[in-house]
Amino acid sequence: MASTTTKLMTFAEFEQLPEREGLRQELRHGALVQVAPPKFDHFMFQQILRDLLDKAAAAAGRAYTEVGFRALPEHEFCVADVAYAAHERWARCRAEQYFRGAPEIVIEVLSPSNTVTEMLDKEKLCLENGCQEFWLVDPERRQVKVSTPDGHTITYRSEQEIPLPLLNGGCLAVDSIFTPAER
Amino acid sequence: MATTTTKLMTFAEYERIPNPPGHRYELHHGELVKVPFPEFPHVRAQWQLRRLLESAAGDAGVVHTEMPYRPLPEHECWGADIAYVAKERWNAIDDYLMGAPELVVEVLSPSNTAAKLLDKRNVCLDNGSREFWVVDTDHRQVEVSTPDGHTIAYKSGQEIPLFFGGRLAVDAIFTPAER
Repeated sequence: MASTTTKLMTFAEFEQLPEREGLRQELRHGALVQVAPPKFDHFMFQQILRDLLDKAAAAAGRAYTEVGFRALPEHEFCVADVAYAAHERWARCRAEQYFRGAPEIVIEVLSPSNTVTEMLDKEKLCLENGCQEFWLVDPERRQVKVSTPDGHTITYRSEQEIPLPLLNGGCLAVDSIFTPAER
Repeated sequence: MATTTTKLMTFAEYERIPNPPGHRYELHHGELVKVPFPEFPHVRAQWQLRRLLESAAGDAGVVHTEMPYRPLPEHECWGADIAYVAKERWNAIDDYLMGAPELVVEVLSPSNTAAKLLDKRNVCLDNGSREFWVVDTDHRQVEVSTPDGHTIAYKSGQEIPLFFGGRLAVDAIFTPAER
């Protein structure tokens, strides 16, 4: 899954790389990582989560899928499966060309190949650089792990609701992610 | 990592399989899983945790590395990197520990998939574990999960409260006085 360069790749070098059809390219700790495109189920969960968050956020902000961001000024470029931020933050990105720091909510949909180390690493990088909530969505167990910068994590399962303090204070039912009315 | 059988393997069938040299087998959801023996940094962390937990537990319970247990009555036989079992329960064990130990500690290896670990955590916390710990030697932190769905990450400079009494400094795990 990962091809590693021998010395740390800078962001400027990363930016010069040609786009690879169908491949997501990330820069993690100065190493180029190429990720295969998501399978259909994964893609569907991304769309569902984006729509649910958009609906809950109303006028406060927006959620997008496949959001590239620069958590740190150098050697890092991550892509979030889904990310939410307030409108002013997205406006700032347009001015700065890239999303600097990590979005307020970063959501990763778990794939069977994801390692624990990889996920913990991404979580740490996000929560230490502006992200307020890191969500790990686990379709197999139908649960969502929500971690915050204070080191606390709550796992929400079927029949529970995830509070959304960053989005106008609503709630998101776990079952609405995994058993949507229409798919 | 997994050798798949065409149908779910029962515990009785599993029990008859000899362990090959350099590996041991576990039974996960009716599937035979080959587990390699851990590398030394992993073993060292296990040893250190066992020592610290044992000294905190005193006579209240027993702490072991590589402890076998059957979290569910059928199709499962797992090994915990480190486990704590209360004395009374320990003394009552016949052939196997049935259900999950009160405390299961897993030390992360780079190859652990998130899905596998989340599955292990769910099954343990649903079947008798009061706490499930994930020890991350890379980030020098310990994630402590409880059956109410809460997880707290303890980092350097912090102490983990122990449900059987006492506290464990995170730094004592990663910077042992003697190694």
